[in-house]
Amino acid sequence: MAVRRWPVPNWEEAVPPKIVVPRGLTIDEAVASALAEAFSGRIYERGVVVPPAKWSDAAAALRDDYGYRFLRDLTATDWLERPHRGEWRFELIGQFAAVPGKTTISLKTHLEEEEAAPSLVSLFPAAEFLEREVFDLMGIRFSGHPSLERILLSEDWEGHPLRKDYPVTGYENWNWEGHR
Amino acid sequence: MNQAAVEKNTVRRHSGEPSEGRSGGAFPAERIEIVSEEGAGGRKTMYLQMGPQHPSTHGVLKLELELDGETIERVVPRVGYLHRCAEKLGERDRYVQAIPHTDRMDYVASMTQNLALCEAVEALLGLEIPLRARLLRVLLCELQRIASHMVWLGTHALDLGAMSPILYCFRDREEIQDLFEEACGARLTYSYIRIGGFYTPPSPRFFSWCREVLNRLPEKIDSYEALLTENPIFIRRLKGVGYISAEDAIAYGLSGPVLRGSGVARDIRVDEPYAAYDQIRPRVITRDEGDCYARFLVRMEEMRESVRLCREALEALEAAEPGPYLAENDLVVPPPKEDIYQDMAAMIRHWIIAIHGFKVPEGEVYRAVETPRGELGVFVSSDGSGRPFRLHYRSPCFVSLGALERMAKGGMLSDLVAIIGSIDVVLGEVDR
Repeated sequence: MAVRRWPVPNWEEAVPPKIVVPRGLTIDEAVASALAEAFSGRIYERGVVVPPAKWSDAAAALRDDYGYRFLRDLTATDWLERPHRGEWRFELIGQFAAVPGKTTISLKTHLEEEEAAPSLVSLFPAAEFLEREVFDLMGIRFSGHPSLERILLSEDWEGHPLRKDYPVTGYENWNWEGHR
Repeated sequence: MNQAAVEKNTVRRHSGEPSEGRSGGAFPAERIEIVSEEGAGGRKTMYLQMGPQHPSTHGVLKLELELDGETIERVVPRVGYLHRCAEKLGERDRYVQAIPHTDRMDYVASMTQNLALCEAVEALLGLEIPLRARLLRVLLCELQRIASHMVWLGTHALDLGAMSPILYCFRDREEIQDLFEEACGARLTYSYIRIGGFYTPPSPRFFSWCREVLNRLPEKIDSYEALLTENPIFIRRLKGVGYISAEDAIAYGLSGPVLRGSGVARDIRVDEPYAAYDQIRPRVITRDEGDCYARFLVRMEEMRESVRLCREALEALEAAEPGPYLAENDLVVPPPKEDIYQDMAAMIRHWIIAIHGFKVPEGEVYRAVETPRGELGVFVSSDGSGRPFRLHYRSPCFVSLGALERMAKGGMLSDLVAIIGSIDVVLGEVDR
């Protein structure tokens, strides 16, 4: 059997070059540009970035004016290095889908270390659990949330594990005897 | 209800400064007084903890209930008992190493969970998956949907007092699990779908066996329907229970059969086709009633639809040109085993991919798949390294539990069991 000759790879250079927008995802450019204009945001490849003060207004516009009534997901990323450069630290990302329809859009905002984001619970009841999860694991507060408390971890947990400065092993040694 | 236990519980939860985030305040202090005193409206209400060891909560779900007699005034789900840090560990590990974590999220439908992560990373990499692999993914995920719905049907009926369906359902699910064992060697947590395709092609026997199983399935689904669909006790336990309107279902972010049971035709397989769903088009099944019985009918119909999709995928697979089940990308996909055994360079490449993993270009992606429970979304943010910068799973049951109070309020305590069953909650996925 003929064996294909495999070139020996070079790990250091082994970065696939391209980014492809996934199949089947269409982003309505008109909605994105209208939203960016109305809320002093800017467009990126999958949606719009708005300032934190306009976060809930932009979500309300998405729901009421453009039919994005389905909040699919709400999550956050922690960019630990950025505050050293005088920038924001957290990025809050919401995914919205039009119902009925096949278009999706994502909405982002950037938050400082202790900055609270406006809550979306009054617009999207689905945000109640999702915001509690973001608060629990990432430590972002949402102003106007009816009961912002931990959801996955116990109430006496210290720290927010998905922050980049939280070690994977936790802050303290833990053993099965039940003592920390 | 032990009064001392109630007070101890509440005192513990409300001690200290009631700061935001630490109050545990689903039942604030003034609520607790209602337990013994005349409450709002001059009626006595009772505080009851249901779970986490309650058998009909399908795992470790704790519900804090406020009851007026047997009528539910308030439901507060307490989740997190099965939290296994899948997202944090995902950031620590390489992309390939995150796949086994997804198996353990929804252990009833592991194949679809594997697929969600792989689809997201493949989208970020820009990998083209061969048609055969995409068809096989459809075949396996639809089989998985049938198996998962069998578990749901058996346990749901058991919760409502029907003892025999669970025996038939688990007997028949066994066949599908045997089939998966034939394909990949595992029966529950597969990790079969890998980034770029499959880690091994299924054996030739798999396809003929699969056809036999598919031929037997429709009459089995008929037999479940004969047991339950026209059963007056079953209907009276489900009809009109747990109603949620289409607007509410959308607002609460429900997905999957629960959303389609409220008359909203939203199905990720149709709206954002992944795998080979752009060629094998599913029919979206909806019911307008919005109650537990509608969700039951939607799922039963989905099982039949899945059998049809499996047949189509199997026929397309047999008609497709022979070839590998893996994408062609030397940086991401390890070489086939025969090459590894014969060629030094192929073995080095295999080692490098196994040890160092692969780098993923900078960017972020949100990809969703339609699992048996609804929309499972995977958000991957990459900083160009070999590990995800952020890996987030949007699990359908977690979001659906947020609407539990909306569905259960004003109903009877015994109906709550039916509603939990109709959401088809799997706690491994809720807590991740």
